[in-house]
Parts: sequence; structure tokens; C-alpha cells
Amino acid sequence: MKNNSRTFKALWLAIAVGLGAYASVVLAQEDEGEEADAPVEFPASLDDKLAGLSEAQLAYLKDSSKTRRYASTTEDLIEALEKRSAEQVEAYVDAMIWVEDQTSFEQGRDMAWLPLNTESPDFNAWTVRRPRSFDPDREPGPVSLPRGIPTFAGAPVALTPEDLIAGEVNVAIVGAPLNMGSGWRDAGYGPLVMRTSGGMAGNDQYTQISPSRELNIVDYGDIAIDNDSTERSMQHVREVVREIAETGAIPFIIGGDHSLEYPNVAALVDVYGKGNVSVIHFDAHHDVGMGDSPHHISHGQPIYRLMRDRHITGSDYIQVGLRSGGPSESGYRWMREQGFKYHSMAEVERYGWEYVMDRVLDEAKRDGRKLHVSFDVDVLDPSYIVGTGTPVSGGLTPREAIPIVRKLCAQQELVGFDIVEIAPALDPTYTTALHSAAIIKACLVGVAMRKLGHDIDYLNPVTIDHAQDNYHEENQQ
Amino acid sequence: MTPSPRRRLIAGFALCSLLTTAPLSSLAQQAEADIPPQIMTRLSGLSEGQMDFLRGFQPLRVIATREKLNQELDRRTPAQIEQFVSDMMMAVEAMAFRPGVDMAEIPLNPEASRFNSFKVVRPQALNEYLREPGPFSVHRYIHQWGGIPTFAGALVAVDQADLIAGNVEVAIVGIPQSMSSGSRDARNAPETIRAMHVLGELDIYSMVDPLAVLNVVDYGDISVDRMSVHRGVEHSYQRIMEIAETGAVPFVVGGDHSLMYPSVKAVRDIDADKPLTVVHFGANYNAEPTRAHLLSDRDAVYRLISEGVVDGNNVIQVGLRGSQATPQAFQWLREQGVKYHTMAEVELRGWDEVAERVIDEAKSATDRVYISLDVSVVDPAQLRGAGRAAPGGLTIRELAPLLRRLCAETQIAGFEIMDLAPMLDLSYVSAMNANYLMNACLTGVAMRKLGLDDDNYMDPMTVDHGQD
Repeated sequence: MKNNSRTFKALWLAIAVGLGAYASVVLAQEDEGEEADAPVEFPASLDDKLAGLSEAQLAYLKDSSKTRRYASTTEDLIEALEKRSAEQVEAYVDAMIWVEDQTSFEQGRDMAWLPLNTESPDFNAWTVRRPRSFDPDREPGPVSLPRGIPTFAGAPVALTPEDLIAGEVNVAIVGAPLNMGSGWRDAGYGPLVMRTSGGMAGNDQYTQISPSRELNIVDYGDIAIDNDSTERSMQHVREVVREIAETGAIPFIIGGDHSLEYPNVAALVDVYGKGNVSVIHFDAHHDVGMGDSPHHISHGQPIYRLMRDRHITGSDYIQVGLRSGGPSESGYRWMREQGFKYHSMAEVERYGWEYVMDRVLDEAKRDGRKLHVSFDVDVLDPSYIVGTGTPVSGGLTPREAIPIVRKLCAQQELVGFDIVEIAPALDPTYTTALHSAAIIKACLVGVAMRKLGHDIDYLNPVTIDHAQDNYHEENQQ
Repeated sequence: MTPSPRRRLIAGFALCSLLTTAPLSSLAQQAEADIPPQIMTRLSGLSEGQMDFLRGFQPLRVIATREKLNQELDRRTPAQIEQFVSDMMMAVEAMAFRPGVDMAEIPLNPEASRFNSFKVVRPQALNEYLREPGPFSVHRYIHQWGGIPTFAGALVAVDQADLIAGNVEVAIVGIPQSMSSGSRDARNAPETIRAMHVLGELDIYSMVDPLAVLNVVDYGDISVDRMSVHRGVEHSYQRIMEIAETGAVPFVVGGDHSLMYPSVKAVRDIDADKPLTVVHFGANYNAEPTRAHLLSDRDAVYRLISEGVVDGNNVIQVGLRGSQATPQAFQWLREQGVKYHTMAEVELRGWDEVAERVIDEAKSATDRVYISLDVSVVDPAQLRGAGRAAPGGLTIRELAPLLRRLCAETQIAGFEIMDLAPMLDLSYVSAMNANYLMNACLTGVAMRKLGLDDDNYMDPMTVDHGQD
């Protein structure tokens, strides 16, 4: 067992090193702006103070990509040097070099792994499923529960792929109460509040379509999560999402934090094959992560991890609603090079929402592949979604987001949907749950529209006009 | 900063993986099975291995009791029983580590240029303005109202030299971590505690003003890796040791209860020859044996005892009522010599008697006492913002006097308040009560310095108006 685990460790190391090398070669973020900087020229007045420095110390001091952490401009740096004695200047540059040395990984000093306790008899207890023989025999198929027991969309419950197949299930809504990818803030309670709040699949006024009538929808329970490890949770989420998709049902994953985008998309690629799935990512944040983090997965880097593990490429992505502090201009440039089609709120400010929405729909249509929608509720403005872990001001309104989600899910062949970062404890009211349910419903309506053969702009003719006169006809001529 | 404590800590991590089978074996002792004859007649199809499994303790890892197991067997045909038993065996087997299938370790990314950035301490030489060592005020006025929030409104100290220069007696330090099982906002506790008054105010029970008596500072926050308890634990250990080395008493504001491990260990290691008594207040016993993860809030007490950091005889637990503590768990605590006091004991004996017993035990143990206060010990009505709240807890009027007495009547070497989760309480009440409890201990420390360490000292002026 020891040997095995050592072999396994070596295997993981090989994978990690391999991927790391791949990442650094293929995905290395081109920081042209920063790397092109010429060495800093210091004024002659500093000559005396710099004379005592070694070549290495001087080279470090002239490299503004390194010193800008401490003095953000060349002027600041010169000022900092001018007010120090020669001795203090040397201590100053030594301190910078020391910080860099301490910050990067050093073999022997730092753990390259987080150890787990493989001796524990309960190592996997969290993922072990309840055998069918523990319960009284029943035919496979979705089980309706008595009124009052909360399920997603009030739907019957399915526990196994056999239940999904027997029930010819179109949509399996499944919870993934992962809290840790964000490190904090309650996303673990997202599934619970979305079960108890309702509003997900009843009649839709705009289209007069009721998803729960048109589609076979089930509650597939929650996926087991190890809330002490995002990494360990990834593997199991991927297994369960895959088993849903393999039956032909569309997995709707209710998070949980945005780390889940990684196992969700990876599972869909497992089932439908590389190159056959594209993703639309609604989010205030780009979540590309760029790979410069000690951790291989968190809620800030699922897309990078998907790219690193070669499940998907940047050109498979459309992003909508970006407006957080990152990425920097060089990050955006890198995303361009990788083929991302990003749509920031700056684009919305410049061109207007209708215009940007049409552009997104057009891009998706021309892509034409099977689609996964990953919807981070923080793409909406915090006034609609108070309960989310990393809110950013200036987001979309529900009246902007609902139509685009409905149209996308009607236009494309949807194979997966996730909604993440719902953090109930941050919103003492029902508002966050209400708007989250409206987004899920918009997509379910879209899926039903497609099944019924409606085009994406379909709205019910009776609902949109009282018809007591010919107002619209006359007006539009 | 010395390397040897770090080596000890790492050795400790290695050791803890060897200590995990104890609870299972105590389960094994409990469960020696007799199978009723009417069930036996239907078991003839089972193999010897399956029969051994059924008689042993393993079925109780998936079925709650022997009685329920017999019910399950009783309602099945022999063929169904075979299926049932083989499924149980598969489930139990699937719980263990599978070499070649499961990750034995979680890989990190050594390529990251910011691999250690969370814990790199800013070198003096990078400071733009140079200053003499010593605690300094961040207030403009002599009597500042409001202003920049610090713990207790105290002066700020940045590094060890400041503590030494200021003859600091109490250094309050935050650790904004909320990653363990609860994962419910304990990371915001330090900033909320700073932003609330009550800590550092005059205590009218003793008429002692702790800030007037003691040199108290805000030592800032200790940085953590928000994605890993493990990666931050050694850094927390070193920073707390840095405080304790100067003779100052660390008051740690968590953070989740996993931080008890590095905090207690650092305080113990400062004076390793002298045993340390730990009084742990909490709804949850936090001595669950190690599971797949080596460090979490649920196992800090288990780790401290099983690694020998503290002797079980020197651990006193107060307020237990969380459902994690099974009969096997209490059995284990007893075997370790832990003096636990559950809310069941309080119900039976009354709080005054239990509180006296705790005081006696703390006084007669050793001469260094560490208080670990998990806010869950308080009833949720008075402390809603607790990461792992449990109904039926102590009131502030029960707990604060005991804390004041413990801190006055024993030699406090360290204090921590853990698992305050501010966002779970939209009011100010949890933060205020947490500050009040901390102030009770701070007052106690000041009382001891003033020699007011008699049994249950209170100021004669305030306990009676004296008009008759």
C-alpha cells in the first residue's frame, strides 16, 4: 500500500510537472507591456549610493517589473533611493530580493503537496453511495414525494442513472454545495435555499410555457462534497455530472461556488468529446486565473484549469458581464490571443445592452456546437443578488439577463447549465433566491421553446398585447 | 524564527497519521454480536467472510445500531440478505483509501510566482519612513472617539521589536481564516471585533480598567492561505510564538477552531518543560479523530492530546452539547483524562456548582493556563453569529464571571476566541458579546496584576450602595 501510494504520488507529480510545463510553455501569459520595459536609468546624483551594489543587486533595481511592487513608478523609486544612505539602499534592494525569494516555492522548505491521511478508514466515506438493497425494492424511475418536502422545481426525485433513463428525463437538477473554492461565504447553502424557495419551473407569462409540463424534470439530489478540499470534490462532481449527461439528460447544477465550472465542463467534454462543447460564462469575473496561484483550483480559476487540462480552449468561450478589478490589460490581451470572445460591462456601456446581447446570440449561433451555460449570479447587480460571495457594482438587471438566457437556451443545443455563488446567509430576504430561480426558469423555458419548435424571439402573442385596438400595427408602419 | 520549533511541528504532522485507528477499535469493543436464532436460519447462504463481517463492528459503520441491523435482516429473504450483506461490505470497503484511484495528496503549483506570498513578512528596509520600535497610536486625539478601529482601541505593534520596546503584556492578534468544516465567515471576525466597542472598557464588577493597568496592543492580523489550513498553520505558529517569546500573553481572535492547534502549540513550546492546562469552552468537543484531512476545526483537541502537546489530564472542556460527541468519543476523552463538563452536567447540577468545579480543576492543574473560547458555547440567542451554533448554551451572565475568575485566579499564558461568524448575525449583538467575553478575561489578567486574585473578588463599592 505504501509503495502503491508512492507510485501514485510519482504519477501525480509527473502529471503536475507535465501540466506545469505545458502551462508555462503553451499558456504562458504574454506580458509584453511589462517584459518590454527597458532597464531603469538612474540619475547621476545616485551614482555614489549605487556604486557599492553588486551587479546582481543593480540589475534587480533596474528591473521595473520587479521593483514596481514597492515603488510603483520610476519617479517613486528614485525618490525612495534618494532619501536613503548608501547602506540603506543596499538593505533596500536586499529586502526586495529576499521577499521574492521567500515568495516563490523552494524545494525542501515548502510543501509541494497538501498531505492527506490515507490510513483513515473513512477516507472516501463522503462519496460512498447508499446501496439499492438497503431500501425496499422499487422500479427504477423518478419518485414523487409527498407535498411539503422541498425539491428543485417541485420535481420528483431521481437517485440513479437508471431512474433518469426509465423516466426519460430531459433535465436533472442537481445540487453541489461546495463552499470552499471561494474560501468563505456560504455558497454551500445555495442548493438548500433553491429547493425551499420555488419559482423555478411554473408557467412563464412571456411565452405561456410551463417548463415542468413540457419537460421531464427531476431533482437529482446533491453531489457529495469534501468541504475541506476543493480539489478532492472536483473528481466526484465530474463523475456525477457525467453520469447524468450520459443518459442524455441535461444536468442543471446548482452551486456551490464557481470552482464547479471545472468538473461540469470536463464531464460534458468526457461525454460529448473534445471540440464539441462550447461555453457561455456569465460573470462579473473572468475566472481564467492564468495559473499563477499555489492552488490548482479555486473559484477564480476554473477556466484556466479546463484549458490546462486540455478539456477546452479559449476559443470555446464566450464571456458576458465582466467588470471586476481583474484581469489587467495584459490579461485581456492574453485572453484575446487565446481566442476568448469576452463582453465586458464597458462594452455594454459603450454600445448598449441590446446590441451586445445580439452580438452574443449571433456568436453562439455561428459557433453552433453543444452549449454549456455557466451562470455566476454575481453577473447581476448586487441590488438583485445581495447574497453572493464576491459582488461587484454595476451589473446586469434581471430584465437584461432573463431574455438573453431564455434566447440562448432556445437557440442552442443545451447540454449543461450551472448557476453558482448563491450565498443565502448574505441576504436575509428572499430576493437572491427569487432572482436565481428566475434565471434557471428562463433557461428551462428556452429548452422547452426549442422542443416546441419556437424561434428564439418567440413571445406569446396574447400576452404581449391586449388587442383592443391596432396600436402596434399602426404605430410600426 | 528559530528552525527547531518548525521541525517539531512538521514531525507532529507526520505523527498524526499514525493515530487514526483508536476510535474504530473502541467501536469494535462495543459491538460483539449475537444474531437472533430466527435470523440465523436465513443466513445459511452466507460465506464465512460474510458471517464474520455481520458479527463484527463494521456493519455499524453503515447501519446505526445492532437492533436496526437485525430489523433489516429480519424483513429480507435469504437471497435478499446475501445481496444486502455484500452491498454493506462493498460500501464499507469503498470508504477507505483506494491506492491508484484516489489522490493520496493534493498537488500544489510550485510554479506559482506567488507561492508563499500570503506569509511573507514585510522587511523593515522596505518601509518608506523609518521609525523607532515601540507601539504607536493610530489616533489623532488624546481621547479618540471612533477613528481607525483597533482591537480594544489599543496601540498598534507591527513586529516583535515593538512588543519588546513597549513592555507589552497582552498582544491581541487576528487570524482571519474560515476554511474548516463550518466554513462560515469566521474570517471576518477580526475586522468585526475591531469595529465594535466594549473590549478594553472599565469592568464594573471589579472596577478595573484593563487598558489602564496593562500594556495592550493590536498586533494586526496573521495572514493565512484561504484555500488551505495546512499551509497557514506553521506561519500562525511562528507569529504566535513571536508574541509569546517576549513574555506578552497572546489573545488570538480567530478564525475557525483549527487555529487552536498552532496557537496552543506555540504557547506550550515557549516553555516546553512546564505543562500547560487548556480550558476549552465550546458546544463541540473538537476531538474527532483524524479523517481524510489532517487538520480541521473538528480535530484540534484530538491532535493536541494525541501528539502530546498537552496532556489529556490538563484539558478541561466546558459547555459540550454538539451531536458529534458519541459515547465512544466520551470514552476516549475519559481514557485521556480529559475533564469534560457537558450541558447535561449543568442541567443536573446547576451552573454555579459546575463553574466552581471548573475553577478548582484549573487552579489545581498546572500554573500555566490557556483559554480556548469557541463562541458556540454561548446560546445562539446571545451569540447568533457562531459558525457551528447549537441550541441550549450558556448565557453571558454565566460565562463572563467564570472567564473573569479564571483569568484572575490562574496564570493565563494565552487566550483565544474562535469561530465568530459575523455575517450570520445582522445585528451588532454577537460582536458585542464576543468583545464582552474577551474583556472579562482581559480584566481578569489586569486584576491578577493588581493582586486582586482572591476567590471571586468583586469591588465592594459596586456590589452594594451602602446606604443601609
